[in-house]
Amino acid sequence: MKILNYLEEVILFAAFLIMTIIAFGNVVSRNLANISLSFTEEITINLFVLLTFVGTAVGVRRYAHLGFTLIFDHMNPLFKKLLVLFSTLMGLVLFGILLWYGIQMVLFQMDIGQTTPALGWPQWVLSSALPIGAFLCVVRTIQVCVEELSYLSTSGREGDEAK
Amino acid sequence: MMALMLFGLFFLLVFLRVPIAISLGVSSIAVLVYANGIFGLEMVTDIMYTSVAKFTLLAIPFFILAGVIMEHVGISKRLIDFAQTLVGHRKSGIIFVTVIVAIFFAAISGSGPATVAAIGGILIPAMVKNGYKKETAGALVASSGAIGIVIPPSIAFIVFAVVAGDQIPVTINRLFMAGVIPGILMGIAFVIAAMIVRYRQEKSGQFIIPGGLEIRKATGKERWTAFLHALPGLMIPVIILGGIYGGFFTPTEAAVVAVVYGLLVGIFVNRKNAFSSIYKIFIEAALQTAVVMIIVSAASVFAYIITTEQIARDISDGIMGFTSNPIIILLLVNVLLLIAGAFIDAISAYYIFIPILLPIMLFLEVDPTVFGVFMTVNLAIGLFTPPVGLNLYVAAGISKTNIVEISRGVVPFIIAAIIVLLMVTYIPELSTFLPDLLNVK
Amino acid sequence: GSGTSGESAEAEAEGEEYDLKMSVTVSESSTWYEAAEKLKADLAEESDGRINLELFANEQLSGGDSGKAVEGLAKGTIDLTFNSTIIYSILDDRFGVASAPFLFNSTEEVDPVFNGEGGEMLKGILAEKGVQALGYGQNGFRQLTNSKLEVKSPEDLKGLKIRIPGITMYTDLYRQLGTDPQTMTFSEVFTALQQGTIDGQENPIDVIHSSKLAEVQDYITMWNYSYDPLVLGMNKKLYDSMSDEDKELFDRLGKEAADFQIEIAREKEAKQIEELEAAGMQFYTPNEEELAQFKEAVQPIYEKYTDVWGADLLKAFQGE
Ligand code: NA
Ligand code: NA
Repeated sequence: MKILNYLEEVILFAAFLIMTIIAFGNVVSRNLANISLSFTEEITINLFVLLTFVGTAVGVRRYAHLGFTLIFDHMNPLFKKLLVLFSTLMGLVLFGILLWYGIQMVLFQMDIGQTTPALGWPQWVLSSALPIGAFLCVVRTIQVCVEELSYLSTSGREGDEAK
Repeated sequence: MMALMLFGLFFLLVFLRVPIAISLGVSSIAVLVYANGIFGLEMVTDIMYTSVAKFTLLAIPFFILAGVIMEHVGISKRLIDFAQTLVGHRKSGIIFVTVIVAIFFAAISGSGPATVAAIGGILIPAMVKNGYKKETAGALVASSGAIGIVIPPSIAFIVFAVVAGDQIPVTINRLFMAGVIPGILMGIAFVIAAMIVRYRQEKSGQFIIPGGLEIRKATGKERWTAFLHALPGLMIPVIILGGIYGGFFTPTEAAVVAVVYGLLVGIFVNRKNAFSSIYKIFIEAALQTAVVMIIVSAASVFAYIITTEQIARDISDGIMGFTSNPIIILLLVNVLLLIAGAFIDAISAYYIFIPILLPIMLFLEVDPTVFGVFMTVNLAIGLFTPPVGLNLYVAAGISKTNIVEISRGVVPFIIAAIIVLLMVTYIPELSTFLPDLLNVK
Repeated sequence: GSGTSGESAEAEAEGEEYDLKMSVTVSESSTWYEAAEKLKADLAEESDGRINLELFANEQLSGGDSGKAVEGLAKGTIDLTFNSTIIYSILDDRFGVASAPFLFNSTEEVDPVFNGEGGEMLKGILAEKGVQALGYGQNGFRQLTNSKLEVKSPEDLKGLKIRIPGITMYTDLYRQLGTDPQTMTFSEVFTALQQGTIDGQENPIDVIHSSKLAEVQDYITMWNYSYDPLVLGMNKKLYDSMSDEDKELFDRLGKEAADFQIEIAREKEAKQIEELEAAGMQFYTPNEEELAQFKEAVQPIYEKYTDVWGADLLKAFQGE
């Protein structure tokens, strides 16, 4: 899992840094050098997709996603465990569908040879961001479920769940 | 029937502690399968992908990144010091300082919680030192932070423009300019509310006037020095707004320029060792971005169903069948949004409610920009209303109060903000005056 | 998309009920949508309500993204669309041929090509990509607007910041013409023009008119430099699964709807030009000599793209 943590963070950092450099380079070139690098926006928006879905996985691991915990907080440990299982199941439904159809999407784009409009790159390479992110989300959802269940088993009583 | 299933399932999941993004996605998936069979699922991935891969939304990660950088390079402390030299010596001066700094930081940051995080760390302890209760201090910062999404730049307005853009073009620039006066009005309302709170606490003997805390009036020279220190920070709104309205940058470009500027200030002016923390800053901003964008992504599927299954039309027709009085309809819309804002975040609310409400607004001939502004003010209130209010959580954390205490403290500010909300709703000129004056379309 | 047919054999497809989804790129007030409404009404009438078409404006079925709509059409998640061949070029570079620079002088030259060999060849490529072309409509000739000067010759274009669609061929073309091409997203164009972030843009009259660009642009050059055709496309798997009677129905009514779109689009364009003039836009139509200069200036594009498009296909489109 340590390697996965590291991998996720490096992806996020690299994606965000490249996005920033490209976007800033574009501003500079357009205003100063009078050349537009705006075709690079294809790269930027797909890195943005990568950032979003890999970031979502990190968010799952760090319990960062917004939610309503008031009712949960007032439940006894057994119900809490059931709700944790339920949440996990729901997360797996969403991320699982995203993963499965994400792979289908990439395979289809590969199959028909779809290219990006401006750069003419294979679309599937850029679209892979989605299934990669979804895969990490699936892994993290399961990991967090195990973590929370064991936390509830050891601490048992009321109090904040891992935050 | 389909509407009931969609909304019922969504709120059920939210109450069962399923994260909002997942609740949006799963309730949508259930309805899609119900309506179109398993075949409907293929759309989910396509919509979730395209809703993120939008150039206009690129401003969001950059404004978030800019906000995180400003927080790390110490710009907020210098802004606060400068505001202190201006009004700190007055009675209730710290209230003014808080709100003024909140407004300034709002003009740097595009998000509410980021504004709270950036200014709360210094201002909440300062207010407590000046005799205010912890929950009052936390509540004022939580509510003032909400101005962050009303005054430009604003992530909320960007999302509004994108979602409303499916029906009618609304430019981000016009929304940005339209938010300025309502944002300042919110600030004024919070100052008045805080002074009333202080007056009442003094009267009932709850206000502990601190001994030996006489703050003398700053000299002109001190003000000048503080101004110079704060100048790099004060320049940011000038760069962002001046850059956009001067025709140099698009909003997205302005955001990325703010990022680079912030890094330069951090490295050269404030001499913070920015390079070593760059990694941390980017990861933190990426995480905040993902939390927003996964909601955008999942909420788009929700909005897709609302539009394609004619749910929006049914509900709009229902509301308009109920009454045709525009004043009452606007009131109902605001009440609906306030309730929604108590439980869900602004981004989800845009995707869920704009498809339903915008046709009504267009029918009533409400300027879409005005709708954008009052909807945003409304959802800004949602940032500090319990039970789910991001600003409230952040401020409670900083002020070391719990959510129940701070919820009590925030009531006067909710009332103050609702008064502003009603003004902005019923006096469209509050929004349109500035953009019309400057001919921003 | 929810064609209830899918796997069923052709014989069984006869009398099949269909509930189909159709995506239109632009708004409900467009000629595209009007033509789609005609197709919907005609299909319902001639099939006695057996074939139902649900229409979605503003590319709602694909989150506002036209590229995704074309992908969805090829894949079968969307049953029918009206999309420009410019969008189709993400599926195959050869689609770019229809918009080759200064290919047609006027619509009189366009129609025979699309009704003849050119149209047939395009149909063949579309079929390879899983799309059955029912007919061709038009987005119109793309014209140039700007706020700086009356553009009469390639010389006038030097250094202008022009927003273009994010397609390689257009980038190459505008570089060749000496401009500084920008590919910002169209939703930002109005503001960018207003504030002088960019100087001009190019689009068919319909887009220029409906986006109210007259408020921010003074000059328009009617140079017909690039034709923008629409494909009324249907998912091919769905089409192939239908009975011969239904295929005939879609072929005939689709062609009618597309022809109808061209007819109303051209009527509308004439009116829109008058309105743009009334709104203060200064129109300039280059004379033959000036057009010859433009054509000369873009020759390198033909040198570069003839192989990409295919020489035979290009010939068919050049009406040779
Ligand atoms: Na702001
Ligand atoms: Na709330």
